[in-house]
Amino acid sequence: MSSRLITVAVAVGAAVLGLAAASFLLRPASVEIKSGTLLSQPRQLPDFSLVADNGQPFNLASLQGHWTILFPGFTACPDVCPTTLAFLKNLTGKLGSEGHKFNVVFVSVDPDRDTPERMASYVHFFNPGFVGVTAKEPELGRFTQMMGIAYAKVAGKTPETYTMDHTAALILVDPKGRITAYFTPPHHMDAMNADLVTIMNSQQP
Amino acid sequence: MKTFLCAALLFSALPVWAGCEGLQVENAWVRAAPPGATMMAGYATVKNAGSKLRTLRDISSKDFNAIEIHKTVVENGVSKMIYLETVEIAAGGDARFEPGGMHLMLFNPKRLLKAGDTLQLAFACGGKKRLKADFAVKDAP
Repeated sequence: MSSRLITVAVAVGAAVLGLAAASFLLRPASVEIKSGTLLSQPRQLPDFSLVADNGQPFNLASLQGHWTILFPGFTACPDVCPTTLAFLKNLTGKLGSEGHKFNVVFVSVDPDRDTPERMASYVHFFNPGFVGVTAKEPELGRFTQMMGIAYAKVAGKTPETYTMDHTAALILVDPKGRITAYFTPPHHMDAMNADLVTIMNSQQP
Repeated sequence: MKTFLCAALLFSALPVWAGCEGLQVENAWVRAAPPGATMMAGYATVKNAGSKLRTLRDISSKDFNAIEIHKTVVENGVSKMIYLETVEIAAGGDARFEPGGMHLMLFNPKRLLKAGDTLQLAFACGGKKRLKADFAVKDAP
């Protein structure tokens, strides 16, 4: 009786081990990151129609062929936006010195105030290579929705001093124009640097 | 006893002792902003080395149209700014104005402020006197 029980137990144990081993061996090669959320399947963006800070169209093709970090904000934002752009300036410098390149695109959710000229003066102050983009409604709403960006206008004390609530995440887009990862604040330079290198190395063309 | 109560009432009702005594401003800086920027942010640590609670309100500077105390919060992944009328600092405590948190929102700079420049802000603390502090304009961090 007891020997039969042992036999059953051993058989069950072997089956469990076998299943565990199979699931371990058969799982897709996965990449783990610490400072953000990596999508299990990158999400392809459809085409869109924004305007860049040089007045030129900015569309899906503008995101293809290189890695991009998109950051939603507005130029009348005194705290989070300059802090994040300064962070991105340091991050691009650090990654660039290690041979990794990516573009930084500032998506203004305040097209009423953020003209191309104003965006250019703002983002180029941090890095001449950064690009500011925006669009009038309803295109801005359509683009931000597919990017997973939320925003809302919040009244200030005077009509001119309204502010914008906006998604605080940094969004990584791969060279095919697919959303790959979201990074939420607070951002830590070393962790994000390491994660970006991990992701870019895992998706070499 | 009656006299004592009257004195106590007077003591609590009139803020004649309120003021800026005991307050110290440290690590005061303003992030350099692009030319034409309409909003800037100031950061500092305000320490209360005194024995009474202090309240910061109404901040002014000749270099800005207006100054408000704001706090950045992230709710459900969305970054928002909350307006604060006053900030209380307990005796022995401090108030920290720092990137991504509570900050001094500086409206419409009246001159171009570049890294290396210095500007002065004055805090009202409830009394007649104002607490003045120099803020350094910086690019970093």
